[in-house]
Amino acid sequence: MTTVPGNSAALPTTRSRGRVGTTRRAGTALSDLSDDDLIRAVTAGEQPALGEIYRRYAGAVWAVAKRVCNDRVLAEDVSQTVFTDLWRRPGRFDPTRGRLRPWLVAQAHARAVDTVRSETARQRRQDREGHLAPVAEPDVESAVHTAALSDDVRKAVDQLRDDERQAIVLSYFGGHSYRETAEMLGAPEGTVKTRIRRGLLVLRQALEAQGVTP
Amino acid sequence: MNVAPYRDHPLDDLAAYALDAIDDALERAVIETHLASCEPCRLRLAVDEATLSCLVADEPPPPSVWAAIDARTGGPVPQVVVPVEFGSVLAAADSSPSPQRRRRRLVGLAAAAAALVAAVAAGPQILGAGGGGGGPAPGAELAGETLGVLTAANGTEVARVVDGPRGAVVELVGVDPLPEGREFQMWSLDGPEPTSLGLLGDGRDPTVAVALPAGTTRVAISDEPAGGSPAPSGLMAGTGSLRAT
Repeated sequence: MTTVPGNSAALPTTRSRGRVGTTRRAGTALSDLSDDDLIRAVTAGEQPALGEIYRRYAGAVWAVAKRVCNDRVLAEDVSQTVFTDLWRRPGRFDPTRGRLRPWLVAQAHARAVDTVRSETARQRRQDREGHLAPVAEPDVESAVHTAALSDDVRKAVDQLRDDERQAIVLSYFGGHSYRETAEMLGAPEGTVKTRIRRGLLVLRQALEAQGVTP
Repeated sequence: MNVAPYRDHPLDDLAAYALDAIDDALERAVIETHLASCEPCRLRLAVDEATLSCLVADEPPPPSVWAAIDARTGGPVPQVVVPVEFGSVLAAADSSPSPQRRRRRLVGLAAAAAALVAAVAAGPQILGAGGGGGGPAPGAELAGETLGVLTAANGTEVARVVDGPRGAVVELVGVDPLPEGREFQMWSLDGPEPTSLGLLGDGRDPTVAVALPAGTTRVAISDEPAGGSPAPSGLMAGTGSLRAT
């Protein structure tokens, strides 16, 4: 048995069900395979390959789902759906477009946003926020989030202007539309979109300068 | 690579799209239509997604997450749908079919008929190809004039609409089947709000007959909960334009 780093969930290395080893040489450890090789193995129906992908990226998927949903039950559902969808439709990932981690995070984010925008979830979230955080202050939201980041990423985030950081954090981690974000910040909608674009550009350049790669 | 001037690319909208901050289906469809034909913007989107993923500080998920995935993925090997040109499946099946392709065609056509029955029950927009509630019979020719092609954000063809002998037919050619509880839904984007054109099933059926209102020119297909949605709420599988019907 192997264990997901930092996680008490155990992942078997060999399984009695699902085909194993049909797309890789005997003796090659799953942990030695590239993401592309793992995707090919998942496409061939090797469930342990999905387990290895989970081991590598479930932390990111869970983190973004939990942050956006602000609800553990909903975040669990989003995380499960991301990986079961990858299992059922591995062809949706196009390695020529980018790397697997950003793609999985984008999938998780989109599903999480869809979830919180549904009426039932919205009500649950509002009730929850009503009890826990009656006023969503953009600065507080930013501070809470950036505290969890690595030093390098935090330095990159520090390069953002306050209005850019607020727009990105509220939209991305708050799951708010740009219209809602504009209303919360008291800024024109077009201005918020421009702040998001400029902020992403500054972030990318700062991350590259810090040597951070996705 | 030649990158078009700023004015030719919706850069601000694209950035908001990368954050899933555009909740208006029509706005999303416009961006996705642009993405379908603009490689530089597809690259920009991928770069933005990669940048945003750096902002995510990994956290260990609870054990119940993997336990549920494990329970769900212990089943049969997932089937990957390979995009095929419309009509080629039928032509190939009639000449020298591989057993797998032959089976898939027949299963697909039979399933299409079943889906049509369900779709008619779900709403009046979906009709049988013959107008009487029946789908294309196995072996029936679906040849017809292509009214339009729907493409995904990455430019991949996902469906085409054909003016068949017994009405319009949607051929899903480049989509993977949806998981249980999800269903493709077709929309007209010609009005101020998207209007449902009906349900297309979960993607396992290659052809579904649809009733296109006269003058329909812009359409989209989205991934929705089974039974459909009053307005697009899920991922947009593809968008495209149709010739006047």
